Amino acid sequence: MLADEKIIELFFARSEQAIRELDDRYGKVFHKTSFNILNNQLDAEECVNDAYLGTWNTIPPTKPNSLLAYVCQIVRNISLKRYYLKKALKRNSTYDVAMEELDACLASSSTVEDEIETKELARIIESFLDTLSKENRVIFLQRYWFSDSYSDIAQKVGISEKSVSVRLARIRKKMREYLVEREVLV
Amino acid sequence: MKSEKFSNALGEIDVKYVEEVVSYKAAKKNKWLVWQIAAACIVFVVLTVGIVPFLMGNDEESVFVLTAYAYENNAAVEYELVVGEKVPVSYFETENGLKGFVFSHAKEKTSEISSISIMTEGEMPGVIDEIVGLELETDKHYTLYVPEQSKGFPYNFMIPYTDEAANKVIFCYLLVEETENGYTAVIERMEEFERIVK
Repeated sequence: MLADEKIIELFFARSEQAIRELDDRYGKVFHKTSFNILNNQLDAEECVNDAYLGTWNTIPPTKPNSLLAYVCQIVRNISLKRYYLKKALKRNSTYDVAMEELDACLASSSTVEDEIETKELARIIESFLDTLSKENRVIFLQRYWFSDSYSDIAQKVGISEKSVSVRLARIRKKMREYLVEREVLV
Repeated sequence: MKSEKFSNALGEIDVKYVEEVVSYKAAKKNKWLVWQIAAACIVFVVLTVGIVPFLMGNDEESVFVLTAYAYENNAAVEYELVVGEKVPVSYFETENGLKGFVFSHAKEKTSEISSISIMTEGEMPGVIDEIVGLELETDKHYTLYVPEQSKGFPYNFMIPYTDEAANKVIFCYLLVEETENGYTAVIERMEEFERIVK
Protein backbone atom coordinates (compact mmCIF):
# COMPACT_ATOMS: atom_id res chain seq x y z
CA MET A 1 0.00 0.00 0.00
CA LEU A 2 1.14 3.49 -0.79
CA ALA A 3 1.82 6.17 1.81
CA ASP A 4 -0.49 9.20 2.03
CA GLU A 5 1.99 11.52 0.28
CA LYS A 6 2.24 9.15 -2.70
CA ILE A 7 -1.54 8.90 -2.98
CA ILE A 8 -1.84 12.69 -2.88
CA GLU A 9 0.82 12.87 -5.61
CA LEU A 10 -1.32 10.52 -7.73
CA PHE A 11 -4.32 12.83 -7.19
CA PHE A 12 -2.21 15.76 -8.31
CA ALA A 13 -1.08 13.78 -11.37
CA ARG A 14 -4.81 13.13 -12.10
CA SER A 15 -4.22 9.37 -12.00
CA GLU A 16 -7.30 7.25 -11.26
CA GLN A 17 -4.95 4.87 -9.46
CA ALA A 18 -5.20 7.42 -6.60
CA ILE A 19 -8.80 6.32 -5.88
CA ARG A 20 -7.87 2.63 -5.88
CA GLU A 21 -4.93 3.25 -3.53
CA LEU A 22 -7.07 5.41 -1.26
CA ASP A 23 -9.72 2.68 -1.11
CA ASP A 24 -7.12 -0.02 -0.42
CA ARG A 25 -5.61 1.98 2.42
CA TYR A 26 -8.62 3.51 4.14
CA GLY A 27 -11.74 2.11 2.44
CA LYS A 28 -12.79 0.13 5.54
CA VAL A 29 -12.58 3.18 7.81
CA PHE A 30 -14.64 5.29 5.39
CA HIS A 31 -17.20 2.54 5.04
CA LYS A 32 -17.56 2.14 8.80
CA THR A 33 -17.91 5.91 9.29
CA SER A 34 -20.72 6.01 6.75
CA PHE A 35 -22.35 2.78 7.96
CA ASN A 36 -22.46 4.09 11.55
CA ILE A 37 -24.66 6.91 10.29
CA LEU A 38 -26.77 5.13 7.69
CA ASN A 39 -26.93 1.56 9.01
CA ASN A 40 -27.12 0.30 5.45
CA GLN A 41 -24.29 -1.34 3.49
CA LEU A 42 -25.45 -0.20 0.06
CA ASP A 43 -26.04 3.40 1.12
CA ALA A 44 -22.67 3.47 2.87
CA GLU A 45 -20.95 2.14 -0.24
CA GLU A 46 -22.57 4.79 -2.43
CA CYS A 47 -21.64 7.55 0.01
CA VAL A 48 -18.03 6.41 0.11
CA ASN A 49 -17.94 6.40 -3.69
CA ASP A 50 -19.44 9.90 -3.73
CA ALA A 51 -16.79 10.96 -1.22
CA TYR A 52 -14.07 9.60 -3.52
CA LEU A 53 -15.50 11.74 -6.30
CA GLY A 54 -15.54 14.73 -3.93
CA THR A 55 -11.92 14.04 -3.04
CA TRP A 56 -11.01 13.78 -6.73
CA ASN A 57 -12.64 17.16 -7.34
CA THR A 58 -10.92 18.93 -4.45
CA ILE A 59 -7.38 17.45 -4.57
CA PRO A 60 -5.82 19.43 -6.20
CA PRO A 61 -5.82 22.29 -5.27
CA THR A 62 -6.24 21.12 -1.65
CA LYS A 63 -3.25 19.28 -0.19
CA PRO A 64 -4.49 17.84 3.13
CA ASN A 65 -2.15 17.22 6.04
CA SER A 66 -3.99 14.04 6.87
CA LEU A 67 -5.61 12.30 3.92
CA LEU A 68 -7.60 10.01 6.21
CA ALA A 69 -9.10 12.85 8.28
CA TYR A 70 -9.80 14.92 5.18
CA VAL A 71 -11.69 12.18 3.32
CA CYS A 72 -13.45 11.09 6.53
CA GLN A 73 -14.88 14.58 6.81
CA ILE A 74 -16.25 14.37 3.25
CA VAL A 75 -17.66 10.88 3.91
CA ARG A 76 -19.40 12.11 7.07
CA ASN A 77 -20.92 15.15 5.41
CA ILE A 78 -22.23 13.15 2.43
CA SER A 79 -23.54 10.40 4.72
CA LEU A 80 -25.34 12.95 6.89
CA LYS A 81 -26.99 14.51 3.85
CA ARG A 82 -28.29 11.13 2.81
CA TYR A 83 -29.33 10.37 6.37
CA TYR A 84 -31.50 13.48 6.59
CA LEU A 85 -33.09 12.60 3.26
CA LYS A 86 -34.03 9.20 4.60
CA LYS A 87 -34.86 10.41 8.07
CA ALA A 88 -38.49 9.43 7.84
CA LEU A 89 -37.39 5.82 7.66
CA LYS A 90 -36.61 3.55 10.56
CA ARG A 91 -34.26 5.03 13.20
CA ASN A 92 -31.83 2.38 14.27
CA SER A 93 -28.29 3.44 13.41
CA THR A 94 -25.51 4.11 15.95
CA TYR A 95 -25.78 7.73 14.82
CA ASP A 96 -29.43 7.86 15.98
CA VAL A 97 -28.51 6.54 19.40
CA ALA A 98 -25.58 8.97 19.73
CA MET A 99 -27.80 11.89 18.70
CA GLU A 100 -30.51 10.88 21.18
CA GLU A 101 -27.88 11.15 23.94
CA LEU A 102 -27.08 14.66 22.72
CA ASP A 103 -30.75 15.63 22.48
CA ALA A 104 -31.14 15.17 26.21
CA CYS A 105 -27.97 17.17 26.85
CA LEU A 106 -28.89 20.03 24.51
CA ALA A 107 -32.57 20.31 25.47
CA SER A 108 -33.64 23.94 26.00
CA SER A 109 -36.79 25.97 25.70
CA SER A 110 -35.01 29.06 24.45
CA THR A 111 -34.82 30.24 20.86
CA VAL A 112 -31.41 31.90 21.34
CA GLU A 113 -29.60 28.88 20.01
CA ASP A 114 -31.68 28.89 16.85
CA GLU A 115 -30.06 32.16 15.89
CA ILE A 116 -26.52 30.99 16.26
CA GLU A 117 -24.76 30.21 12.99
CA THR A 118 -23.41 26.72 12.38
CA LYS A 119 -19.88 28.07 11.90
CA GLU A 120 -20.07 30.09 15.10
CA LEU A 121 -21.29 27.02 16.96
CA ALA A 122 -18.41 25.03 15.44
CA ARG A 123 -15.91 27.54 16.88
CA ILE A 124 -17.56 27.25 20.32
CA ILE A 125 -17.40 23.46 20.10
CA GLU A 126 -13.70 23.75 19.20
CA SER A 127 -13.01 25.92 22.24
CA PHE A 128 -14.89 23.40 24.40
CA LEU A 129 -12.86 20.53 22.92
CA ASP A 130 -9.70 22.44 23.88
CA THR A 131 -10.73 22.28 27.54
CA LEU A 132 -10.82 18.45 27.45
CA SER A 133 -7.90 16.11 27.93
CA LYS A 134 -6.67 14.43 24.73
CA GLU A 135 -8.20 11.10 25.73
CA ASN A 136 -11.59 12.63 26.54
CA ARG A 137 -11.54 14.60 23.27
CA VAL A 138 -10.91 11.38 21.35
CA ILE A 139 -13.71 9.60 23.22
CA PHE A 140 -16.17 12.46 22.59
CA LEU A 141 -15.37 12.76 18.88
CA GLN A 142 -15.34 9.01 18.32
CA ARG A 143 -18.86 8.92 19.69
CA TYR A 144 -20.38 12.07 18.19
CA TRP A 145 -18.25 12.66 15.09
CA PHE A 146 -17.64 9.07 14.01
CA SER A 147 -20.78 7.68 15.73
CA ASP A 148 -18.70 4.75 16.98
CA SER A 149 -20.18 2.29 19.47
CA TYR A 150 -19.11 2.18 23.11
CA SER A 151 -17.31 -1.12 22.54
CA ASP A 152 -15.34 0.31 19.58
CA ILE A 153 -14.32 3.33 21.65
CA ALA A 154 -13.40 1.16 24.64
CA GLN A 155 -11.17 -0.94 22.40
CA LYS A 156 -9.47 2.05 20.81
CA VAL A 157 -8.84 3.97 24.04
CA GLY A 158 -8.03 0.91 26.15
CA ILE A 159 -10.68 1.35 28.86
CA SER A 160 -13.88 -0.52 29.72
CA GLU A 161 -17.26 0.17 28.07
CA LYS A 162 -18.59 1.26 31.46
CA SER A 163 -15.79 3.84 31.74
CA VAL A 164 -16.62 5.11 28.25
CA SER A 165 -20.25 5.55 29.24
CA VAL A 166 -19.35 7.36 32.49
CA ARG A 167 -16.82 9.61 30.76
CA LEU A 168 -19.29 10.54 28.00
CA ALA A 169 -21.97 11.39 30.56
CA ARG A 170 -19.51 13.68 32.35
CA ILE A 171 -18.37 15.33 29.11
CA ARG A 172 -21.98 15.95 28.03
CA LYS A 173 -22.73 17.52 31.42
CA LYS A 174 -19.63 19.68 31.16
CA MET A 175 -20.54 20.66 27.60
CA ARG A 176 -24.05 21.64 28.59
CA GLU A 177 -22.63 23.89 31.32
CA TYR A 178 -20.14 25.33 28.84
CA LEU A 179 -22.89 26.13 26.34
CA VAL A 180 -25.13 27.64 29.02
CA GLU A 181 -22.22 29.80 30.25
CA ARG A 182 -21.79 31.14 26.71
CA GLU A 183 -25.53 31.67 26.37
CA VAL A 184 -25.80 29.18 23.52
CA LEU A 185 -28.25 27.28 25.71
CA VAL A 186 -30.47 28.86 28.32
CA MET B 1 -31.14 23.01 20.37
CA LYS B 2 -31.58 20.18 17.94
CA SER B 3 -28.87 17.55 17.89
CA GLU B 4 -29.04 17.86 14.08
CA LYS B 5 -27.74 21.43 14.27
CA PHE B 6 -25.06 20.37 16.74
CA SER B 7 -24.05 17.49 14.50
CA ASN B 8 -23.78 19.82 11.50
CA ALA B 9 -21.61 22.21 13.49
CA LEU B 10 -19.49 19.27 14.63
CA GLY B 11 -18.90 18.51 10.95
CA GLU B 12 -17.44 22.01 10.55
CA ILE B 13 -14.80 21.75 13.26
CA ASP B 14 -11.15 22.04 12.27
CA VAL B 15 -9.81 18.89 10.63
CA LYS B 16 -6.98 18.81 13.21
CA TYR B 17 -9.44 17.38 15.78
CA VAL B 18 -10.37 14.57 13.39
CA GLU B 19 -6.69 13.97 12.70
CA GLU B 20 -6.10 13.63 16.42
CA VAL B 21 -8.76 10.90 16.62
CA VAL B 22 -7.58 8.92 13.61
CA SER B 23 -3.96 9.01 14.73
CA TYR B 24 -4.75 8.27 18.40
CA LYS B 25 -3.15 5.17 19.79
CA ALA B 26 -3.90 4.03 23.33
CA ALA B 27 -0.83 3.31 25.40
CA LYS B 28 -0.27 -0.42 25.03
CA LYS B 29 -0.18 -2.40 28.21
CA ASN B 30 2.78 -4.71 28.20
CA LYS B 31 1.63 -7.71 30.25
CA TRP B 32 5.17 -8.76 31.13
CA LEU B 33 5.99 -5.22 32.21
CA VAL B 34 2.86 -5.16 34.39
CA TRP B 35 3.95 -8.42 36.06
CA GLN B 36 7.49 -7.12 36.52
CA ILE B 37 6.18 -3.91 38.10
CA ALA B 38 3.82 -5.92 40.32
CA ALA B 39 6.69 -8.16 41.44
CA ALA B 40 8.90 -5.13 42.10
CA CYS B 41 6.08 -3.53 44.12
CA ILE B 42 5.67 -6.67 46.26
CA VAL B 43 9.41 -6.74 46.98
CA PHE B 44 9.30 -3.02 47.80
CA VAL B 45 6.30 -3.42 50.12
CA VAL B 46 7.88 -6.39 51.89
CA LEU B 47 11.10 -4.44 52.39
CA THR B 48 9.35 -1.26 53.48
CA VAL B 49 6.63 -2.70 55.68
CA GLY B 50 8.53 -5.68 57.06
CA ILE B 51 12.27 -5.23 57.13
CA VAL B 52 12.92 -1.48 57.26
CA PRO B 53 10.65 -0.79 60.29
CA PHE B 54 12.23 -3.85 61.96
CA LEU B 55 15.70 -2.39 61.44
CA MET B 56 14.53 1.10 62.39
CA GLY B 57 12.92 -0.12 65.60
CA ASN B 58 9.33 0.00 64.30
CA ASP B 59 9.41 3.79 63.94
CA GLU B 60 7.03 4.13 60.97
CA GLU B 61 7.97 6.61 58.24
CA SER B 62 5.30 8.76 56.69
CA VAL B 63 4.55 8.29 52.99
CA PHE B 64 3.14 11.76 52.47
CA VAL B 65 3.81 13.01 48.92
CA LEU B 66 2.39 16.30 47.69
CA THR B 67 1.68 16.87 44.01
CA ALA B 68 1.24 20.25 42.27
CA TYR B 69 -0.50 20.89 38.95
CA ALA B 70 0.40 23.12 36.02
CA TYR B 71 -1.46 23.73 32.78
CA GLU B 72 0.79 22.98 29.81
CA ASN B 73 -0.30 22.63 26.17
CA ASN B 74 -3.97 22.60 27.17
CA ALA B 75 -3.48 19.74 29.62
CA ALA B 76 -2.90 19.46 33.33
CA VAL B 77 0.58 18.20 34.19
CA GLU B 78 1.54 16.76 37.59
CA TYR B 79 4.69 17.69 39.50
CA GLU B 80 5.79 15.87 42.63
CA LEU B 81 6.98 18.35 45.22
CA VAL B 82 10.26 17.87 47.06
CA VAL B 83 11.46 20.23 49.80
CA GLY B 84 13.42 23.13 48.28
CA GLU B 85 12.69 22.33 44.60
CA LYS B 86 10.51 24.74 42.65
CA VAL B 87 7.96 23.31 40.23
CA PRO B 88 5.66 25.16 37.80
CA VAL B 89 2.04 25.64 38.85
CA SER B 90 -0.96 27.27 37.17
CA TYR B 91 -4.20 28.82 38.20
CA PHE B 92 -7.16 26.43 37.96
CA GLU B 93 -10.77 27.44 38.14
CA THR B 94 -13.87 25.89 39.67
CA GLU B 95 -17.30 25.85 38.08
CA ASN B 96 -18.18 28.83 40.27
CA GLY B 97 -15.25 30.91 39.05
CA LEU B 98 -12.99 30.44 42.11
CA LYS B 99 -9.35 30.61 41.00
CA GLY B 100 -6.49 28.95 42.79
CA PHE B 101 -3.55 26.55 42.80
CA VAL B 102 -4.19 22.83 43.06
CA PHE B 103 -2.29 20.32 45.18
CA SER B 104 -3.05 16.68 45.91
CA HIS B 105 -1.89 13.82 48.04
CA ALA B 106 -2.79 10.15 48.20
CA LYS B 107 -5.74 9.11 50.34
CA GLU B 108 -4.64 7.43 53.50
CA LYS B 109 -7.46 4.89 53.42
CA THR B 110 -8.97 3.52 50.25
CA SER B 111 -12.39 3.61 51.91
CA GLU B 112 -12.22 7.40 52.23
CA ILE B 113 -14.16 9.44 49.71
CA SER B 114 -11.96 11.55 47.45
CA SER B 115 -12.56 15.27 47.97
CA ILE B 116 -11.50 18.75 46.88
CA SER B 117 -11.04 21.18 49.79
CA ILE B 118 -10.92 24.90 49.25
CA MET B 119 -8.27 26.67 51.28
CA THR B 120 -8.11 30.40 51.87
CA GLU B 121 -5.62 32.02 54.20
CA GLY B 122 -5.12 28.97 56.33
CA GLU B 123 -8.78 28.06 56.52
CA MET B 124 -10.67 25.23 54.84
CA PRO B 125 -14.01 26.90 54.19
CA GLY B 126 -15.57 24.33 51.91
CA VAL B 127 -15.57 21.37 49.59
CA ILE B 128 -16.30 21.36 45.85
CA ASP B 129 -16.93 18.71 43.21
CA GLU B 130 -14.92 19.73 40.20
CA ILE B 131 -11.93 21.70 38.99
CA VAL B 132 -12.21 22.74 35.35
CA GLY B 133 -9.62 21.06 33.12
CA LEU B 134 -8.46 18.59 35.75
CA GLU B 135 -9.18 14.86 35.63
CA LEU B 136 -9.61 13.88 39.24
CA GLU B 137 -8.18 10.58 40.42
CA THR B 138 -10.26 8.63 42.89
CA ASP B 139 -7.29 7.69 45.09
CA LYS B 140 -6.37 11.28 45.94
CA HIS B 141 -7.46 14.23 48.05
CA TYR B 142 -7.18 17.64 46.44
CA THR B 143 -6.65 21.09 47.93
CA LEU B 144 -7.47 24.24 45.99
CA TYR B 145 -5.52 27.11 47.52
CA VAL B 146 -7.36 30.35 46.69
CA PRO B 147 -5.00 33.24 47.42
CA GLU B 148 -6.23 36.57 48.67
CA GLN B 149 -5.77 38.67 45.52
CA SER B 150 -5.27 41.93 47.40
CA LYS B 151 -2.27 40.47 49.24
CA GLY B 152 -0.19 39.84 46.10
CA PHE B 153 2.69 37.43 45.48
CA PRO B 154 4.44 35.57 47.03
CA TYR B 155 1.84 33.51 48.89
CA ASN B 156 2.70 31.43 51.95
CA PHE B 157 0.38 28.80 53.26
CA MET B 158 0.36 25.45 54.97
CA ILE B 159 -1.30 22.15 54.05
CA PRO B 160 -1.83 19.82 57.01
CA TYR B 161 -1.83 16.03 56.68
CA THR B 162 -2.70 13.43 59.25
CA ASP B 163 -0.91 10.14 58.86
CA GLU B 164 -2.75 7.74 61.13
CA ALA B 165 -0.60 4.76 60.20
CA ALA B 166 2.58 6.56 61.23
CA ASN B 167 0.69 8.33 64.06
CA LYS B 168 1.94 11.68 62.82
CA VAL B 169 0.63 15.08 61.83
CA ILE B 170 2.59 16.75 59.04
CA PHE B 171 2.52 20.49 58.36
CA CYS B 172 3.68 21.24 54.84
CA TYR B 173 4.69 24.91 54.40
CA LEU B 174 4.44 26.09 50.82
CA LEU B 175 5.46 29.19 48.91
CA VAL B 176 3.92 30.21 45.56
CA GLU B 177 5.77 32.85 43.56
CA GLU B 178 5.19 34.68 40.31
CA THR B 179 7.96 34.32 37.71
CA GLU B 180 8.53 35.61 34.17
CA ASN B 181 7.04 32.41 32.72
CA GLY B 182 4.19 31.95 35.17
CA TYR B 183 4.11 30.67 38.73
CA THR B 184 6.15 28.25 40.80
CA ALA B 185 5.48 26.39 44.02
CA VAL B 186 7.99 25.02 46.47
CA ILE B 187 7.83 23.22 49.82
CA GLU B 188 9.82 25.47 52.13
CA ARG B 189 9.79 23.04 55.02
CA MET B 190 7.86 20.18 56.56
CA GLU B 191 7.19 19.75 60.23
CA GLU B 192 6.21 16.45 61.78
CA PHE B 193 4.50 16.05 65.12
CA GLU B 194 3.40 13.03 67.02
CA ARG B 195 -0.34 12.66 66.83
CA ILE B 196 -2.11 12.97 70.14
CA VAL B 197 -5.39 11.08 70.22
CA LYS B 198 -7.65 12.12 73.06
